Amino acid sequence: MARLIIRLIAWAGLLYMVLPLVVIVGTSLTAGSVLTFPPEGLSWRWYGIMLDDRSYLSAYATSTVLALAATVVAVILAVPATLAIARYDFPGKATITATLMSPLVLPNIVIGAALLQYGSAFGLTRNFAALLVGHTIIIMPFILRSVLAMMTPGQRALEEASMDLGANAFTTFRLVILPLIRPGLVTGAIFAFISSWINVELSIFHTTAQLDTIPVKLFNYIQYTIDPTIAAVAALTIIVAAVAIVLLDLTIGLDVLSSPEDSQ
Amino acid sequence: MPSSLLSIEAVSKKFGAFQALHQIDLEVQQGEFIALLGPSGCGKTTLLRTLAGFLHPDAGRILIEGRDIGKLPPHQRPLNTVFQNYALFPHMTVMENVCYGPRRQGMSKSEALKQAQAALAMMGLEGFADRLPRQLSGGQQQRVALARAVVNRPKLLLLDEPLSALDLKLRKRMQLELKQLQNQLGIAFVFVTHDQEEALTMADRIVVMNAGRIEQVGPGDHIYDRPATHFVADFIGEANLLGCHVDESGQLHFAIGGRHPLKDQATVQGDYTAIIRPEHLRLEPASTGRDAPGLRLDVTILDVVNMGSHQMLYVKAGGQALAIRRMGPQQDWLSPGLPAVATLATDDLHLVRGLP
Amino acid sequence: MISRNLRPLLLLLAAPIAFFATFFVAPIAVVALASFATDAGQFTWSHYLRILADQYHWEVILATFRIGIVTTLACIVIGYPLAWYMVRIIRLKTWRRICVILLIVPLFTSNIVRSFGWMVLLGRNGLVNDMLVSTGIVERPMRFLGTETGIIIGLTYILLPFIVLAVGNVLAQLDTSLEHASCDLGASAPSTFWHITLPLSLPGLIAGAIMVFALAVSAYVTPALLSGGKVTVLSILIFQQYSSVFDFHYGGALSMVLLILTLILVAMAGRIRGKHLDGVA
Repeated sequence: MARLIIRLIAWAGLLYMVLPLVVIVGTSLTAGSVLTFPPEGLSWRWYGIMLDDRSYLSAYATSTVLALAATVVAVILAVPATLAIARYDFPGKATITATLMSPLVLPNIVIGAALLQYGSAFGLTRNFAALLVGHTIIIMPFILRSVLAMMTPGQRALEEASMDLGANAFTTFRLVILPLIRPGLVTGAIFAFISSWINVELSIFHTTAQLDTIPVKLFNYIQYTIDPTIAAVAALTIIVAAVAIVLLDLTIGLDVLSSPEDSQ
Repeated sequence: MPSSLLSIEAVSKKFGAFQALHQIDLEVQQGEFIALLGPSGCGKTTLLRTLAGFLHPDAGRILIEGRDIGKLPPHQRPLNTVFQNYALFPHMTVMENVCYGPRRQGMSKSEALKQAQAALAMMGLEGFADRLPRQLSGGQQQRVALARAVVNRPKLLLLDEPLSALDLKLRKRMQLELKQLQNQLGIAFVFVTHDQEEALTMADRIVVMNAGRIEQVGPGDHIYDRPATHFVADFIGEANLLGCHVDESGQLHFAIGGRHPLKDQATVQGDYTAIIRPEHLRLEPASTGRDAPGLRLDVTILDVVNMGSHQMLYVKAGGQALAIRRMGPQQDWLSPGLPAVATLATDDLHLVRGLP
Repeated sequence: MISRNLRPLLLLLAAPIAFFATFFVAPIAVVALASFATDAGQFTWSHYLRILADQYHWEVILATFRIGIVTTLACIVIGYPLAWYMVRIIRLKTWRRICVILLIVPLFTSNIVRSFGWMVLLGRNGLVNDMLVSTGIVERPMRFLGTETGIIIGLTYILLPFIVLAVGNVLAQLDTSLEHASCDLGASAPSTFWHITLPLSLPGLIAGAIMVFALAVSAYVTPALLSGGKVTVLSILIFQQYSSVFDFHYGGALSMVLLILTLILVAMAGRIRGKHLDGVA
C-alpha cells in the first residue's frame, strides 16, 4: 500500500519534471501564431524565423563563445588551485577553499550586482570582459570540485613514484597527474560550460543590445511579448541539453543513485 | 520421536542460472552448536539467510518445532541473527540497540530495560549502556550484537561469520566465550564459518558444505577420522589422498606402488582413495631393513619444517607428494634430498570410493 | 601531505587567489562598504534600519521566506518518495538511468527556459487550467501567474532535483544490513523505516533542504517571470536598486542581508553533513 503511494508520487514527480520541457518543444512546432498546447498543427516555421533573425544567431554565438572562454580561464585557474589544496597544508587553507567554492551557493544576483558596482569604477561593465570575469568566478567551483575528487591518496602514490624515478614537478604533472585527472577535468568542464551558457542572474547586469546571451535575450523578450519564436529558441536549448546529457550518460555514465548491491 | 527444533527439508535455491542450494536436508536439536563449514560460495551464508527469512527457497520446507515458517517474514520468525559486520544501529546507544527487539515486540520500556541490562551483564558490558557503537572496539561491538540478539530469547541463534573481523588472539578467546555462552543460554546456535579450526573448536556437529550441497554431517572427530568424501578429507585437516585398488583377495594395491593388508576384509573390490592423515605415516632412515608386512614406500625428502614440538616432513614417492607429521626432535637424516622410507603407522585405513 | 617548500605552493595559488580577490572578494567588500555609507561617504546604519523600518520591505522579505519555506516543503514531499522510488523500488537499471536523465536534463536548461514553460502551463488557457476545468475540480480557470502559488510551482520544479539527488545519495549509501537487522529483531517494515531508515537519512535530507531553501530565497528569474510584476521577492528588490533606482547603498544593504543569510544557511548545512558523516562512517 505504501509502495503504491510512493509509486504514484514518484510518477507524478517524473511527469512534473518532463511536462514543461515537452510543452515548450510542442508549442515551438505550432503552425499557428499563438502559444497553445497542444499546438495547432505542426510546422518548423518558428525555427526558420529564429534562424533568420541575426540577433538570435549572434546571441547564440555570444553565449557559446563566452561559455568556452570562461571555461578555459576557469580551468587554467582552478587546476593549480586544486593541486595546492590537495597536496599542501597551509594556514587559511579551509577559508581559501571555502571562498573558492562559495560562488556555487551564493546568490548570483548579489555577485552580479557587486561586480557591476565594482567594475563601474574602471570600465569593467557592460562588455565582454565583465561577462567573462563574472562567469569565470561562478563556474570555477565546478572544476575545482570535480578535479579535487580525483586527487586521491592512490593518485599521490603515483606522483611520488614519478618523482622518485627522477621526474621533476612539472614533468610529473604533465605525464602522471594530468592524464589521470582528465575524467574529472572533463566532467567539471562540461558542467562549467553548461552553467555559463544557461546563466541569467549574473549576465543581466552586463549585457547590451549588441552583446546579448540567449538566456538574457529570452528574459527580456518574454517580459513584453510571448510568441512561438521564443518557444523555438527555448526548445532548441532543451534539445541540445537532452542530447548532451544522454551522450554524457552513454560515455561517462550518470549512474549516481545505485547502491553497492546493484553491481551484482 | 520428538520433533527436532529445526528441520530443513529438501531446500533448494537458485540465483538465475546458479544453483546456490541443492536439496538441503538437515535437523538441528535443542541446545546444539552446529557449524556450517565450507569454502566461499558453498552456500552456507545463503542457507543462513534462508533460515532467517531474507531469502525464499525455490523448493523445500523449513520447520521450527514442527511448524512451517516458510511463509513468515523475518520479523515474525522466532530466530535471531548476529550479522557479519554486526549491523549495530549507529544512531542509537548500546542500550537502545539491545532494547530494540523487545520494544518492537511490544514490551514496555521498563521491562525492556531490565531484560537489556541482564543481557549486557551476561556479555560483561555493564557500564557501556550509554556509549555509541562507533566508540566501541571490535570485540565490544561483537558482544553488543550478541546481547541484542539473545535478549529476545530466540529459539535458534544464527551467526554469520561473526568472528571474521577480529584479530587472531581475540578470535580464539571469543570462540571459547561463545561456546560457554551457548552452554549457559541453552539456545541452539547455527554458526557459519570458513575456518575449519573454528568449527572443530566450537561445534557439537559440523555440516561440511560444498557447491550448494551437504557433503557430511557429524561431530568434529568423526569427520576428521572418517571423511565421507574426497572434498571433506581435503578440506578438514591435512590429508594424503592415495589412489588404490582392492583386489579379489582383499589386498590393497597403491597406485604409487606397494601394498597393504586390509583390516576390513569385507571391503568390496574396486578403486578407492585412501585418506591418510600426516600423523598416520612414519618416516624411517633408508637404511633400515624390511621386516614388517604392509606399505613401505621409498621416498625422497623434499622439505623439513621444524615446528618446535614436531616436524612437518614433505616427501615425494612415485611422483606424488606426501605430508608426514613426526613427533620428537630433529635428526640428521632428516634433510632435503636424502632418501627415506615411509610406512603406515595405523592399520585403520579409511577408504573412500573412487580415485582422487 | 605537508611540504615545507613554499615556492611551488605560491606559484600554484597566486593566480587563482589573485583573480578571486580582485573580482569576487573585492566587489563584495565594495558592496558591504557601500551598504554602510551615505552618499557623502560617511558611516551610517540608515540603510539597514530602513530595511527594518519599512513596512513594504518587510512584506517583501516575509513573502520571500514564505515562498522559500513552502517550496522547500513541496520539494521534500515530492522529492523523498521520488528518491525512494529511484533507489529502492526501481529494478531495471536502464529505467533508473532514464529517470536520472529526466531529472538532470532540466538542470542543464536555463532558469528562464524552465520558468517560461510554467508561464505557458499556468496561463489562463494553459494546460493546467484546462485540466482543472475539464475534470470539474474548479469552475473557472484559476489565476496562477502573478501569485505566490505560481512562483512556488516554478521554484519547486527547478529545485526538486537537488533534493532527489541528496536523498537518493543517502539512501543508496545506507547500509542495508542495518535494516535487515531491524527486521530480524522483530520490527515490521513501517517500523524499520520509522526507527532506522528515516533517522539515518535525515541529515542528508535536512542538508539538502537547507540548500534548497537558500537557493529559493535568492532566486531571481523564476519569481520575476512568474510574478507578473505583482509579487516582489528580495532578489527582485535588489535588482531594482541596481538597474532602475540606482541606490547602490540601499541595494548594498539588501544584498548583504541576503548574502549573510545564505552564508549562515550554507554553514548550517555543512555542519549537519559533517556530523552525519562522522556518525555513520
